[in-house]
Amino acid sequence: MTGAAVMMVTVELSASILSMYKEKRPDFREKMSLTLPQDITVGGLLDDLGIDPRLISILIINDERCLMLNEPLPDGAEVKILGPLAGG
Amino acid sequence: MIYGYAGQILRIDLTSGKITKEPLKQELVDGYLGGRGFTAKILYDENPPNVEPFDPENIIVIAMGPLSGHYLPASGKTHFCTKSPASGGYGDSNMGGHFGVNMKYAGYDVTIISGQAAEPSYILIDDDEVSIRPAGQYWGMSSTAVESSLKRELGEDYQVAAIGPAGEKLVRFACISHDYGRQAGRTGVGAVLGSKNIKALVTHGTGSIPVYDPAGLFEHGQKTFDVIRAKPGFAVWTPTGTAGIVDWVNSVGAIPTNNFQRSFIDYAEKINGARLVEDLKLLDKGCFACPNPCGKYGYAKTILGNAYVEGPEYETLAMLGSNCGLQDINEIAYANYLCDELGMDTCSAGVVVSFAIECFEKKLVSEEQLGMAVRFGDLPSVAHILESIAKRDGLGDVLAEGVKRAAGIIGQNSDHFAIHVKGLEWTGYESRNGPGMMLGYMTSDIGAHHARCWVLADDFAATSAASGGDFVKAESASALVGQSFEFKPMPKAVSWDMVPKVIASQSMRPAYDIMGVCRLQTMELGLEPEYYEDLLYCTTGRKLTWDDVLKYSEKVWQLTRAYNCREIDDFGRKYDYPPPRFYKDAIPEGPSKGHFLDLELIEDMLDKYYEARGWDKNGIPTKETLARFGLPTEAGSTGGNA
Repeated sequence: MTGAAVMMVTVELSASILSMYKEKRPDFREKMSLTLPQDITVGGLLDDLGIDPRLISILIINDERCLMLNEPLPDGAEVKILGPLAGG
Repeated sequence: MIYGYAGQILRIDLTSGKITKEPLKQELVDGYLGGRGFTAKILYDENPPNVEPFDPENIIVIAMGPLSGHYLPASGKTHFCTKSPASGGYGDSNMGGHFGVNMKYAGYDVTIISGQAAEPSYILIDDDEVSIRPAGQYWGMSSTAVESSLKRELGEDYQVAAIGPAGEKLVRFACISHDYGRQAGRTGVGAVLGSKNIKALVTHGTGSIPVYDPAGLFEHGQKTFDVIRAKPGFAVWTPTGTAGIVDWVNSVGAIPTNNFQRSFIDYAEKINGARLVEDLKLLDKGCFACPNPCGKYGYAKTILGNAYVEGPEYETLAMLGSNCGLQDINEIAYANYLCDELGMDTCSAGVVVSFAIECFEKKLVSEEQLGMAVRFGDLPSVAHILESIAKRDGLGDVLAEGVKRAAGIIGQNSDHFAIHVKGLEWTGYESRNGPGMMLGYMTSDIGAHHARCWVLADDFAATSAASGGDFVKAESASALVGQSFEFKPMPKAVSWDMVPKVIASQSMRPAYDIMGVCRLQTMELGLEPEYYEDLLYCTTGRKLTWDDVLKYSEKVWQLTRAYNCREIDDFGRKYDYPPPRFYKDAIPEGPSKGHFLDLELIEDMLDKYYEARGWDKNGIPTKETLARFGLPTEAGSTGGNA
């Protein structure tokens, strides 16, 4: 990312996401700080992490639920990625 | 004195009226820890072999765990166990609320009810005073009406667990209701209580429980509350509770629709968690010591009337909602209300109602038999069938027997779409696209039940990983919510990899039932189970690792399988098959279009599962396996699984 504008983003992963990716991404932590290109979208963040969007139940950005993956990610965003959970 | 426990077992013989108390034995505590461990062991040892579920001699065991009633998260789970009128084998169900905590504060870890009262009665456990009282004036009342009546009679701090009219009529999926919306819903425990002429159980306890390290328990209990509140999902999950999963389940094509004929709906936004909050919810409602209340108390407005109701949670949204074709959250909530008032499990009721509608559509039953022309997506149809079941009117008398027996009576190949395992109706997850989830349903000891094993996300994660990293690129997908995501069928070799995940989930989930706490703090919010090691130590003085707790869980799993082997004639592999629809019919449309599990794959998974469990090829635990767990071996097989 030398020369490109970057920003810091905090990502929190739910236990179910950590569980699903524990073999593929042992480096995942419940809370991580990431440096990302400034023009990245939400979908781009997921691609960067290697998280399949089909495995996400709820995605929160700065306490607001994110519904569209082509939304730009704001600088300093706090992102929560939650996997699916059993009901009842 | 045994730290963490009230220290007594209460026995109530309804036939003789004899009430006895005995000390809780250290041997039972050491061997089975509590909750579901206690109930399974006592049922196996004390229930007369081959007793019929509605025979007065069939016992009901109610138990709490060592963590129940203490200052730690969600420690109010109560376990009911009996020989199930749904499966004819092992049955149990649990509920939150405050009922069991009061039983423990009154001095009893376990209550065992046997016999049959001569007249409609209720049982009052009021500290040391235990009595069987007339309940003729309550017979015929709805579950919530009898609860409020008994509270008016005895006092608001008395906790009531009651049956509704369905339990009185021995509907095989009748439940026990408590706290105006909490249920021990599954396996027909309410029908067994009804067969004993018991309308309600009431507890009131003012005692205390000895704890090994009170200061340590306070410290670790508080820490655990704090950890839960700091979890990423806490603030997001709590407003909707389990209803928040509707969108995801639908997006991957796993929401039961019109009696599992389809698995995707185009009206998810009308019945999802956001809609629940917007249209229905009045307030959050939690159980004893719960930091993340999943109950959503609301007010439903429909063409049939308006109603205050707790719910619907996800399973109800799926089973009474999409599976019956209802497309309005108010209508689903009203059907939920009817089930609560009548005293029926919403999961089983959803399967039975949708089965009846499909039978009518296929002209297997008539309008005359049903009492009206019924159709999917029609609240009056759903309400009419529910009420006819509870009254055992017309075809309702057949449907009250549960979907397996009803299909046997109706015949005409209706068993093809009678969605159950071992006689217990399915719950809210289409599994033709999830081999692990399917295996979990198939091998559950009580029959089809998601709370015994839930690996649907693992199924999709494994399928995603098997694609070699060629997952759906997020940047190419526009919306996270509201669109469907297709998955290719899972490769066979990956399906086999799901077997250990299924077994791990089957150990994990019941562990919470044994400790006497709610599982949702871990399952939904990600509380690390190791926190329970400190809580167990401070409560009981025993240094148990999480692996130790899981070993209790596995032992109980073997015991309940052995119970089924002993009690069900010709029990074995064939009892683990899913309904034919799931291995003969492909899902016709939606994200999971074309998915089904062929019988060969199902047989392969069962082979691998049985081998991993130490069971023979017919699914019977070997004597060697049972002996390894210190269990009775008479129901075991001498055959190996070579």
